[in-house]
Amino acid sequence: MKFKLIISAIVFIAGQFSVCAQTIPVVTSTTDLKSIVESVGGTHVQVSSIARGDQNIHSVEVLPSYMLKIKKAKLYVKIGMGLDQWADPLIDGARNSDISILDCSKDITKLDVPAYKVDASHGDVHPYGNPHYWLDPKNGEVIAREICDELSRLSPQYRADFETNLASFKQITTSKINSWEQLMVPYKGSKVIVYHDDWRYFAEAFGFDIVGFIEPKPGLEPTPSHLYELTKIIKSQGVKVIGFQPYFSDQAPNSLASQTGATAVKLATSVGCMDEVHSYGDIFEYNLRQIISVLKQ
Amino acid sequence: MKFYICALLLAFSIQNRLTAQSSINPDISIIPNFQVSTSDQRGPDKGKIEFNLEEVEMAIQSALNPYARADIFVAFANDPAEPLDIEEAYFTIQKGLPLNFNLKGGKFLVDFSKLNSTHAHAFPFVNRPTYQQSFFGEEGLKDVGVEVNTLIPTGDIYTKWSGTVATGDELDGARQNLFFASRINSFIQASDYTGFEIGIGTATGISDSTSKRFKWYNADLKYKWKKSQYTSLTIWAEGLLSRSALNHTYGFYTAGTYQFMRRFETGAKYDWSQAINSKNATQTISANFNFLPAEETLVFRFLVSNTKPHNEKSYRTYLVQTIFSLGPHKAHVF
Repeated sequence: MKFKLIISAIVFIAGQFSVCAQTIPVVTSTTDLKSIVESVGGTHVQVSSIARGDQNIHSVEVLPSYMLKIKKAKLYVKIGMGLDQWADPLIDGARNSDISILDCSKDITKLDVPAYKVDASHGDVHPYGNPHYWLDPKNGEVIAREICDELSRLSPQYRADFETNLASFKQITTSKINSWEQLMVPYKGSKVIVYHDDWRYFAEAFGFDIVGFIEPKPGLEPTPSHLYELTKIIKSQGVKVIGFQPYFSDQAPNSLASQTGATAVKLATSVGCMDEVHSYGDIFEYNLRQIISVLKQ
Repeated sequence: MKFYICALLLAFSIQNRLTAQSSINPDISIIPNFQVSTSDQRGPDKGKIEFNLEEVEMAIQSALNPYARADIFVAFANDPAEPLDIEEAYFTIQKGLPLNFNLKGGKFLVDFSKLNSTHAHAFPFVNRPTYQQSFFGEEGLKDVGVEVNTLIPTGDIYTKWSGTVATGDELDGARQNLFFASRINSFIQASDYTGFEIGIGTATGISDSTSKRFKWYNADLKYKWKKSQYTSLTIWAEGLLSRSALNHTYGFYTAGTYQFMRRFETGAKYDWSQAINSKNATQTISANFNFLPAEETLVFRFLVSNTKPHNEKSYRTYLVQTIFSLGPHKAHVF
């Protein structure tokens, strides 16, 4: 009896190891990258994200518990362009010599690359360009391609599966992009105000015109004089939408809205930012629905 | 024509060299600490408003190769006896050692207590707690030596052990015998919004003034509840027991900081401490209000404190501290 129990235990443990061996442990900086890795990796990956969807990814705290996640991973997927710099001390602290690091920004066509010497007098400007590139769904396809290549390099035996998943991801995304673009036709060129300079790629993709930011410079709190200037812009240019992320205070957007008749709208920058945003595609579904519902009025 | 071609080639070569050089330059950050203070402590300076550039810390940090990095911290202090101090200068081998060991060598802040390994500009309060100043010195417990540390497998709990052997030369009181220290700390993430770290440190050396061996036992706790991006409560508490053939003395502090808006924090600290060879205790209670106009690059701290030294009248101190940061000094670990 004892012998049978020991054999069963060994078989069970070996089974557990074989299941673990089949999946590639991946850690991502953000939930958006996690969602794309899951789409491409399918059942061959086990993914966790460092930042939560409702966090400001400019300033994620460097917690030792994150190092444990990275210690067990084979691949770390980062945004790059200086946005998730907090990942560097985490990766260093994880003591994982075998981990591969994938910077998804390398093939992205970058916007707002400063043509001047960047320093802190310009606020929290990113010297390599605006890093919020995942907010253009076409860039989601570029990210997915890079992830597919890296996963295939790490586990070449699953290359065919990754390529199939990538094709499916691209097909779904392309079809959605077409429907979103159709939806946006009547509203192309609509003027909007946003809190932080996260929305350049989103605006470029869907034809919005960002005419002002609640932050006077990236990373700085709004001042009364800056808000006063914004009220003039909103009134003179007929701005209907003031977009902001839920982790910022709603005080300034609501104040602007009440003074001008525009509507303050909570927008999602990442998967998990709102309860309704469960996947990468949901970010665009949710944001466009929110914005169009205001523009329709 | 030849001259122009040569000049063009030379300019191109210099440009290439400059680009290559800047890409391998270390990160350099400078963090000055400027203070304005006044105190009603008895003496010639009673009531005098003092302006002090307390310290200018320069951090030079870079990877040495794929396995190791180096960190150098130089402090320019407002101290005529020692205006320039190499606070830390050490290399760390981070990869390639067996059992996930890291090896650190040089001069560094000894991993003995949570706060001791934290640079002063990253303190949540203005001054180093009295017990650390009494036992470790004004700049904390730092020395020339070697440290090894590794992660201990404790499931989802991050646990690190470190052991240090140091010369003892740099410690307060200029102890000339080897100094040994060890610390084990665990970080527990209780939820997405709550995490805490507990640590226990031990150390032993020989006191220069008494020639007696002393043993130190330290316990520390840091707890953080972060309700949202700009609302958080952080609590720090540490205590030390010092034992030697002559006496047993101890000290502790506890402090809390509450961030209630993106740009504002408030906090309080209580200190109580004897000294390594004296049972005379000093206690300080302080409250501070912090204003952070631009996150991580500039902070103003307003402090009021009441200090009661042993057998002396208590006195109040009012202080405004400004810390500003230039350069890419990296985010600190919890």
